[in-house]
Amino acid sequence: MADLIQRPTFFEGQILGAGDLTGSLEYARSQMARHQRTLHTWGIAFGLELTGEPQVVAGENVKAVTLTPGMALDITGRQIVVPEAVQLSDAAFELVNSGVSDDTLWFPVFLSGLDETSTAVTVFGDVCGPGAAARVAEGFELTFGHRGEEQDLADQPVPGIDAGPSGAPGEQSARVLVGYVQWQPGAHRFKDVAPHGGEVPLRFAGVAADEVVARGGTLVLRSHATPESGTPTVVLDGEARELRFGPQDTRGSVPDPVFTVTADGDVKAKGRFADARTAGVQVESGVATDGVLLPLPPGISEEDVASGRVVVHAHVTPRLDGVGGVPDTVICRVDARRVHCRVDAGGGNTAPGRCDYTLLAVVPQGGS
Amino acid sequence: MSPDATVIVVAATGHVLGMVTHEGDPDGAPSAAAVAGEAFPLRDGASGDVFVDVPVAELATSAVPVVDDLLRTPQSCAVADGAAIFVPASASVALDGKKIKISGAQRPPKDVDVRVFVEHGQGSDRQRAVLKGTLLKGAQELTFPSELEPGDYDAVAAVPGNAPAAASLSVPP
Repeated sequence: MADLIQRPTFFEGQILGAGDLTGSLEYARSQMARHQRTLHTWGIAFGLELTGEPQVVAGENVKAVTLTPGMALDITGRQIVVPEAVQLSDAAFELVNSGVSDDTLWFPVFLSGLDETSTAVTVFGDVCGPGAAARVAEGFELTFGHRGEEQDLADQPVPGIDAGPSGAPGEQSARVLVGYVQWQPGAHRFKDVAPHGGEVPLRFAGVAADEVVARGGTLVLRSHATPESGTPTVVLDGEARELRFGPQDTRGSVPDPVFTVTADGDVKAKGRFADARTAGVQVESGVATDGVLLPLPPGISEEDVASGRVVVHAHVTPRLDGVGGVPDTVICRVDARRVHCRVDAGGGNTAPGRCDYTLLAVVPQGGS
Repeated sequence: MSPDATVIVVAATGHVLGMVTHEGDPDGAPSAAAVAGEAFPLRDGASGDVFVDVPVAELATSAVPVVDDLLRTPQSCAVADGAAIFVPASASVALDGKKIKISGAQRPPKDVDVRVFVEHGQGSDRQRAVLKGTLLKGAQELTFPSELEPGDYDAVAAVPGNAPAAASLSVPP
């Protein structure tokens, strides 16, 4: 059985040592890391965008690449805080990826947490021996990967449930992808920067939850933190007892939803169904003339019919609309959706005729 | 009925071969393949059998307002300026020796593309060809340069300004 987690406790008159106080901090820090890695998913939580400032060096268009301030959670639950913008080192890139000649390739940039022991302080002069550090800086490290190395992020080890966050001195830190850079070999500078250049997209921190509960009675899902007019939004409205989906306005509300379903099951939808292959019957009707292949209802394809997922029934009748008199119909039938409709043209000849048609496309249960 | 119909036309000449309205998706514009399949069958007036098939590659669709002529004689209509209009049966197609010749056409106000759909043989051996030519401004006749092999042919000529002209042609040995 693994050791149980120990929570420091104190009693009156206890002489507190450094280990007691450090243990209190480590307890809280490990508790936070467990919360982060079990109730959240790791990734960028805020900021941390790679930006490029255009420059011309040695006649080449290059960029000075900067990481904006922000915070990320690594896979161990460690918070990695970048308090101010930091410029990426061209020299550090060349140390890892020397001899790059193709300026179209993208290379990953990683961020990891790194504890740094501050300068030691001396207590009571030198009387009681050498001093020890009284602070640990929760720093960070920016590193460059080889091309494709970002795919290794998925294989980072997940610490045990009782473990603390990574980043202790001498310990390999977990990494978070913050973007990609291209290299301009002629100028020995970064050529470009992008959030999506390599095999793996940026990963953002999320929530691991089987239940999300609104406190005010309305739950909202947005694609952007700041409401942007026109971006899609989902609203679960407890007061109206309905779910709405549609573009939001600048205040973050959805005044004109395109899809609504009430708690009673009533559905209102705008637009059209692109794929109507749900169980049931789709209908098309109208007028057709000789030779026409009757059109399928919206959302039903020729492939659906050919594969047997949809069964088509068609019915035609001569159209007696009185246009040009009542036609003397010779034949009016439909074969494999092809209309064969002829009217008497005199002298033993026929001419193309017209008919009303009804076409049913039947999708059986489980047929989609 | 929706105010517009989808007409299936010969793309190069605008001749209407068929029309269909569709209530389920009135704003949609089905493709030529959706309402014609691989080819549109033009039937023989006497027998009702398929005379020639117009391949889908030569077809297009267009949405036009429904007019009586479209319902009464769809294959005597053509699409011009977004509307279906009646066109007279003036042109004829015949043989000039071993060559296909169009004559009696309405004089076009400008050079116009002409198509002749020709079929030869029976059953699975039936051969299909599309002859392409240009009827010059003011001209009434057009002879296609290629000579036909001896045999029986079915041909439908689509000449702008004229209803489609059909004929069975026999090239002697």
